Amino acid sequence: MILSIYHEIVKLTSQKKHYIMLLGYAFLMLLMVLLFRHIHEDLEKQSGEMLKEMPFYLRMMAPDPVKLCDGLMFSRFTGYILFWVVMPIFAFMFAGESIAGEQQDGTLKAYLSHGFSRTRLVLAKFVSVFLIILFYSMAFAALTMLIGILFFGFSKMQISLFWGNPGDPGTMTTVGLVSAKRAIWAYFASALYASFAISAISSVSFMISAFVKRMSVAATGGMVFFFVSFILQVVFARYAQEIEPFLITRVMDGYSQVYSIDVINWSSIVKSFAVMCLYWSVCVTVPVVTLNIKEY
Amino acid sequence: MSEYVLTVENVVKSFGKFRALDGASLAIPKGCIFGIIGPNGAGKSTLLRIVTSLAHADSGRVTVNGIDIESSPRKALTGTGAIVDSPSFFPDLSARLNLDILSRGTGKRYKARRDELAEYTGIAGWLNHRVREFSLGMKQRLAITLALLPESHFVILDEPTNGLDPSGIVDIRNLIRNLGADLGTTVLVTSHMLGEIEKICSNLAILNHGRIVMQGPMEEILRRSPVTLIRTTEPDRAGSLLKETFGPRILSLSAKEDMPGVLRVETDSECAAELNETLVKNGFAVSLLEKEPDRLEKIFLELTGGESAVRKEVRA
Repeated sequence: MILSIYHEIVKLTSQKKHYIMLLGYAFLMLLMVLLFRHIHEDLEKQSGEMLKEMPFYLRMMAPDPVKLCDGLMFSRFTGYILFWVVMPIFAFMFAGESIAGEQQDGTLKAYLSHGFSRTRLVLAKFVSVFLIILFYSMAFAALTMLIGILFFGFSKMQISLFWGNPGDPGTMTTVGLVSAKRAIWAYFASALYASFAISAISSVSFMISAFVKRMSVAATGGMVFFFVSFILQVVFARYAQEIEPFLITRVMDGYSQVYSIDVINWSSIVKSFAVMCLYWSVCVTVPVVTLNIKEY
Repeated sequence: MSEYVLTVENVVKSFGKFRALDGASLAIPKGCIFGIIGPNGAGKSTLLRIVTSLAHADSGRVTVNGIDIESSPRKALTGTGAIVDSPSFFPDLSARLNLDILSRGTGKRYKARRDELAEYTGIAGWLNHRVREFSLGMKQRLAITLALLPESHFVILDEPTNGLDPSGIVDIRNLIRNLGADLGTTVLVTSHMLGEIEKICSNLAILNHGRIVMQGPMEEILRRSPVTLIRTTEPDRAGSLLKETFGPRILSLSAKEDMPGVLRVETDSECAAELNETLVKNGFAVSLLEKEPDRLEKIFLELTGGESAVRKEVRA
């Protein structure tokens, strides 16, 4: 099994998608650095005014708001976009490629005609996709933090935030200060959590890839499922209460929880992991059964 | 132990209303190079897919190495290498990695065998090159190496010379012919190219409309109703003499339309020397005596019915 997983990783890493992924990440970093620099400049101009409006306890602990807007803050802020938008798209591509890509180029037939275990093949592919997602999540998280510190420095105190929705300031339910060490832990814990969540999200593409011969169809199918789930959870939440606990986007809820390490809602995280397990089980079992009965 | 490496008994396979295999039966003896020919849609690929467990038969039985393919596909295919359809590899990986991944090979013994086989098939110098850089001929060589890797004593090659240039065809032909002699491997080859099959294979089966319409050793099939072409003085008189002398042994005798002055003599067995001796003794000068070329093509056409079924052969 380990050899099979290793081979699957070798195949996945040989693809040109990685260059696209790295380019996409570099482009995101460029945009975020420019944006954050702009925010920095604005803060510097308004720091005096802001200090007056700051709660007394915050003013006492960190008198300069510009210092709070440091490299670690940059990486935590960028992490939201990275793990909510960019990484899922890459994960859909890898998961979609996994089986459908090999059906498309005929290499799956070469495997199966040598009498390899089809169940083992599916499991190895699934684990390898997860490991790739895990690797990129952690690597990008570390790289983003390094870029942030390089451009915006490092402060010993960090704002502790709970962002339910980055586009809605009203969902900032808690604001406080934590040590940088604690914030770094929260940041990497959230990246680790995100890799699990993205794996569950992309497993839909993995399942679809067992039925189709084009990886683009499998990847697009997963994306559509993800965005429909997002729309149901966010826009039509009132009308989708019965299915809301099973929506795939729900697994990302835990990301915000882990991110703001002070206010972890363990019940929500456990529920999110339960939804992940549901998706993993279904999205692996279906391809195992399909590959074992399908004719090539 | 069975004396056959592959047996197919009354296999039926349908796709909707279309019956791709309609009670096909054949047996491949160990150590031979067995060819299956048939027109497009005859069921060759379907048969190979069933033999390699990529598809399931509706009814009938297939055994590989004496083991039922339906009940124990992995066990049955142990020691069997197969390339079904065109050879497919991971283009961005090296040939070495492709072989390692697709054969799941590991260990010193495996590596030694891989390098030895790569040397044998002529790709040793290319093992570190990416498959993207390979020509179709090189891919075929790589495919044959892959098929041989799991210590295979039975190798299945689907259209191995398809799409190759003439020199590539000759190379792959020689390679396949040598597999049996050098490695003792039984080879099953399918092809549209009758001339290639005639040159490569020791045994043959002709598949048409999902049925095996003829099978046996190539020599026997070609010897069946052999045709001799004879150019002689006074062909009409010579023809009458041969009919009188050989009687029922001559199945048909006619003038060859595209070769003026040449008689086409179909006999029940090989007797070219006797025909020549009779003519010479009776004062006829024989300036040409040869077996009719493309005999397999003619047998194939008789059995499958129609020129349209035959793909024009690329001659090496």
